[in-house]
Amino acid sequence: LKGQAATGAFTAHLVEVASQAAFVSEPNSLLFTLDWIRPQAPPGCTPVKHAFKLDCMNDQAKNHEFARRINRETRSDPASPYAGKYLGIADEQVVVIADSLADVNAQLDAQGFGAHNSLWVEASADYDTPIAFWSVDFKRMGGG
Amino acid sequence: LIARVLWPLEKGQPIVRLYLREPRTGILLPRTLLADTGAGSAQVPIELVLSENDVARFGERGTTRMVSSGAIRGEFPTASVWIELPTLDVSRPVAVMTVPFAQLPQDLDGIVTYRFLNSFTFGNFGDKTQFGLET
Repeated sequence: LKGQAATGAFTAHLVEVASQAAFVSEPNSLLFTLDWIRPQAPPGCTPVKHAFKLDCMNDQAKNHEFARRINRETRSDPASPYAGKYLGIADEQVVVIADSLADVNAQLDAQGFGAHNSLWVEASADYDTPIAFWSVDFKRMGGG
Repeated sequence: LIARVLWPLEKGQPIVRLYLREPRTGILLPRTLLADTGAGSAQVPIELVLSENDVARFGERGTTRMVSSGAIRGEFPTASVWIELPTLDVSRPVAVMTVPFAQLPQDLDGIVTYRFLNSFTFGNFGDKTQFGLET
C-alpha cells in the first residue's frame, strides 16, 4: 500500500472488517475491542492502539478536576450531603447521588451518559494518599 | 447461611479466582488474582488491580486516577469492573486500578487488595495448602 489514498483504503478495509465483528451493533461503544482503528474518535479520546478506551474513560480533565474538588470538600465536611455516597459526574456537575457503585453506574447509563463523558467517584474515599503495596518483588514471588 | 470457597495455593501464594463480566456481552471470563493483604488498607478506594488490557475489555466507567507506592509505583487510571464469585453469591462492580501487565505478579492476572479481602472472612481455614473466602 502506497500513499494516502491507499492508506485510507486500507483503513476503510479495517473498519469494514471491524464492522463485521460481534460488537459493532453499537458503533460508538467505547468498549469495542477494535475501536482504535475507527477513523473518528469520540471527543476527548485518542485513537492510539489499545490506549483508546482508557483515554476515554480517564481523560476527562474537567470532570476529573471537579470530582477531585468535590471529593476533598466532602472529606473535609462530614456533614456533607455527599458523605458516604457514590457520585456520578458529568458536565462538571453531580448528576447522580447513589449508595453503591452499581447504582451510580446504572443511573448514569439511564440518563444517557457514557464512559466517555461521565465518571464516578466515591465521595468520602481518600484518592490523595498513595496506595501502598507492601508486597515484596512480585516477579521474585512468582519465581521469575 | 455460611458459604466458603477455597483455592489451592499457587507457587505457595494465596490466590482468589473470580470472573470478570464483559459489559457488552455479559460473557464471564475467569481470572486468577494474588490475594494480597499487603495491598493497601481497608480504606483505599480500589478493590482490584488489573492489567490495562483487562480493563479495556471489562471496564465500565472511569473514576479519578490513583497514585501507588511500594511494589507498584506510579499514577494509574481507575475504573469500575463487574465481578462475579458464584459460590459466594457475589455479583457487583468493584473499583479497579489499571496498571501495565509487566507490573503484575508473574503468572497471575492481577491483585485483590486488602479492602476486597476484608469484605469477607478470609484465610486458610485450617488447611495450610489452601486459601479461601467465606461470607
